[in-house]
Amino acid sequence: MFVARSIKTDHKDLIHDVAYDFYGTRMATCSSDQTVRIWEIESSTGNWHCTASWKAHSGSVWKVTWANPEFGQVISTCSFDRTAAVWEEVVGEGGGGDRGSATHWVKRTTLVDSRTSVTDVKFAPKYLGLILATCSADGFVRIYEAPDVMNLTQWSLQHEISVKVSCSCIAWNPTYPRHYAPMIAVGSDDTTLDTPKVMIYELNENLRRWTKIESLQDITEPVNDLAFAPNLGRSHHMLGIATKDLKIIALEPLKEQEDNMTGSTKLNSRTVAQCTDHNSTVWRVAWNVTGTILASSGDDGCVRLWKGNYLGNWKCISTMRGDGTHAVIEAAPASTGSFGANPANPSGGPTSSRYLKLAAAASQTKDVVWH
Amino acid sequence: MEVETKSNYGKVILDYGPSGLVIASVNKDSNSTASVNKDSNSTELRVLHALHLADNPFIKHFMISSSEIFCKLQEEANKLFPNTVPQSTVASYSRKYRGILRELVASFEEARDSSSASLYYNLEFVWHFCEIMFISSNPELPVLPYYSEWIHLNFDDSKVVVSHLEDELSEMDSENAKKMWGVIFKLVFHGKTKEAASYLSHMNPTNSPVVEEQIASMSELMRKRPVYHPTLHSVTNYERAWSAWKEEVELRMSHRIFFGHEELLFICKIMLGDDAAFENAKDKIDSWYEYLGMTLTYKYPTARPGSLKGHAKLVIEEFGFHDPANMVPMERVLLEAMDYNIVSVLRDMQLHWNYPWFTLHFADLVYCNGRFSSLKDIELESSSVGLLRDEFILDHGTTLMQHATMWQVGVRYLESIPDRGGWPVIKECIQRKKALTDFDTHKIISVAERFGFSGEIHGICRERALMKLKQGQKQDALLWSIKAGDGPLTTHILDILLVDGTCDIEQSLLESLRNALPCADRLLFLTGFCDFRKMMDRKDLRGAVSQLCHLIKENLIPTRMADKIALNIQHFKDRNTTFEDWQVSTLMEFLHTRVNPSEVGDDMFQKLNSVLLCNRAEGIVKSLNSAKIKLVK
Repeated sequence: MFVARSIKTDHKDLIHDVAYDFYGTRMATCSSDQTVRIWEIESSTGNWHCTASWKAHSGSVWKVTWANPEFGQVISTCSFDRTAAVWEEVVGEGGGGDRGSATHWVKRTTLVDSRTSVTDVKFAPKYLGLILATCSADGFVRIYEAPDVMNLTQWSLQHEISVKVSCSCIAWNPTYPRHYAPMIAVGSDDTTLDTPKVMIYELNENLRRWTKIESLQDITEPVNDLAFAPNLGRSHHMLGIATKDLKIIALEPLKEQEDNMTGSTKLNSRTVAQCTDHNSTVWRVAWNVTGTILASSGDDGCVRLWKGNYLGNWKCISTMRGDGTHAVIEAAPASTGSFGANPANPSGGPTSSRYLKLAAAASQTKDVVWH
Repeated sequence: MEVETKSNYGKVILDYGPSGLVIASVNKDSNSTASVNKDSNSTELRVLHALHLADNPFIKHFMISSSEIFCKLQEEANKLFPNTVPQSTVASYSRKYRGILRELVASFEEARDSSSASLYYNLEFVWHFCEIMFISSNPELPVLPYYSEWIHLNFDDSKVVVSHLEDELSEMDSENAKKMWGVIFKLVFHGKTKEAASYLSHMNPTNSPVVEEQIASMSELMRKRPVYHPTLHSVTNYERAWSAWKEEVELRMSHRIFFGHEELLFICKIMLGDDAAFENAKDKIDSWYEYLGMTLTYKYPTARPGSLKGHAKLVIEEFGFHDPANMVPMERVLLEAMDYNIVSVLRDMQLHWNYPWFTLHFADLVYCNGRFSSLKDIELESSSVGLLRDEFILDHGTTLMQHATMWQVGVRYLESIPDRGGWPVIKECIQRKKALTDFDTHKIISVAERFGFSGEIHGICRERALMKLKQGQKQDALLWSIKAGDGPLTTHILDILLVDGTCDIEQSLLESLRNALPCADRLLFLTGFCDFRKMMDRKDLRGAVSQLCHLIKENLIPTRMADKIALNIQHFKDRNTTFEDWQVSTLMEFLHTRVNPSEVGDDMFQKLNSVLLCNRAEGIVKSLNSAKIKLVK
């Protein structure tokens, strides 16, 4: 169950992305009006306020992403203007429209290597350092690093991966590195029929470059979004993919199957859920912080929440309209459930009786999420 | 050709954060073209904050209490491992859970939230029955004592009714007499014949001697009815006593002792297990499980738990429930419990109350006791109580971890999952806690330290240091960066501090710097400079000068600090103290090569220079004088 609050964004055009910071107490939005806005929640009232707004690019801003807070208050944006930028919040007299504020955002660098629109940008998991990945319509994934985290003006292009198809989205695998090499999933919105649209790349420590370790053959429709689930104890990775429907793919690293020459991991991919409830194209996917619930949004204007049980069966547990109101609640909410009943005193006497009559509930035969 | 305007119309953009969802959606306008009116904001942003059961203060208190019971049980189980926790101990913990459930019901009743009171009342009702089947009762012994107690606890309104009739007991009108008989009948149905007997004395309003005698006889029979107790009686002896008692009831019936008294005859027939009387009793009974209790009490008093299901089926048919699908969910759970189908019980409880509190704690009790923990689901081989228990704990613990104030309760649950199964969730969630104060941060760090999450501690401390720096609290920032063990950040903060020029760092901080690992050159300077300041405070000029020269020789003084450091030279002016030649030379070289006269001011520069020259001159004079004295000698 959720409580909804509306925010008037004052963006002059479509919002293309919204991103929470690590703690969920700040948000960034970006828009076709070429601006980025930062929002912060007031803990006492729960109201969100815009704390910064600036023109970030000379074209539509497609995506915004936050760095881990241990690197400071840092975001990155990408745009139709073929660039990505890194911004840092600093203390001092405000620039732009925020004169007099204690902090303001400054551009630390502009990444200009792409020849086409930069369609997605994501910071790597913090254990890799301050690293940024971008993907572009020119079919390249570029990975940048800031070697000195105290100096965000210096970024170097570490890798340029040729994906060979127009890229629409990118996702880092957030899994802790002890067992797995760094991994990226790239989605393509290419319209060529029957070609895989999701590619998995891994950083090969021996070759010191990114190599493709898997192309998901089941995903042949254009991909709009994808996201790895946080892996808190699973033996496999979970990837949520927004395409013509919603797919959840389990990627299981095969043990002792590494390619002896290159040291690459072999993955066994399996579709654990194919959800067509949106009855339309799915645009966005996002996991909760523990990787147990996947949110999806579709062309039907609805947001759905999906939860899997320990047997790997996924069910829709909530459907919300784009305005945040519930459309259907698939599972009984915890606050009531089918066990809630109207109290009645069977003897017809005083209502201070200690027991409450169990009324018949109109129960529906449904499977529990976990069984 | 690239197209800037993405087909975004109708898209819903979203993100999922620690506290909930944010959704950005476009308002669809059926009259619009594909291009958007750029002059108006056509996108709404909605933040959905996830509600939690624990947001309710009653439930929060309930959850904290249940976590305390849970933790104590885990401690007990760990102490006894590899043995299981004894049945009696597990039963006592189960009663504790029921106790707090009843407290919760009382709280909601007091707050007039009847819906919530009803929900938790029903949960306690089911829990109690499951406790009987899976924990308290012995499969080899009669189940009736437990079953009767369960029925009586939940369906006894005798005290309430009697309290309303208290003033009229001696002179009851027919309506009140009817109510009183209703109380007596209910007590008889529940097997509480002794309590029923105590009310019989009020049921002779006309003081008829015949009725008096009948009542006395019935009271005697009621009081003599043997009641089985597992620790006091053997089954054989009890059966013998019960048969004897039944014979006596039959005898009095055959002697027509209760002839003419409709109510007493009814009671007598009930006690004899007469089918016609049982049929009449249905009008006075609310549910089939109450009826089942009566059946067991007067027909099958030594029935074992395993035979309950068979008796229940017959009773249910008599009550007219021919299709189990028409039963309320809770009743299905009771039947599954009678089947000892623990996995189905847990499944249905979660189906109908989509929160794992019941399933988690009950599964844990069964798991600790060990008796049914190896049972698997009939259909799914891989289900077992142990596996389900861990899954429920993970679910409940994860939800609690994401609550603002209950996360420490979540930690307690998650650390009870075997093989550190809950640790990844703890690790992920605690670093997502936005600490507003240093106290909160220390709380989070202390939990992280307990689990050895050193990487996360580094991140938390580093982030705290950056936040303090942003707030202008440089010394606090320095403390946090040292705690993080972050050399580059520490250097960065020290540089900022040193740029301020005063080196005005608290003594206690400098002391802690001395004890910290020397992770930055700046630290070496500051600790050395701390010693210098101490010596100056003590007027130990020789020591101070020696220390300062050491800092200069080791090239530890940052360039930006040289001017400010040099100003200390003016305090070296003391006729009684002369310094070593090399010290004066060092200071002189420092003054002339590292200090910018325009920064300190020409006058001051000259003053500093003259202090050193004077000290050097006095030194020369002293040495000449001492040479002269030697010559004279």
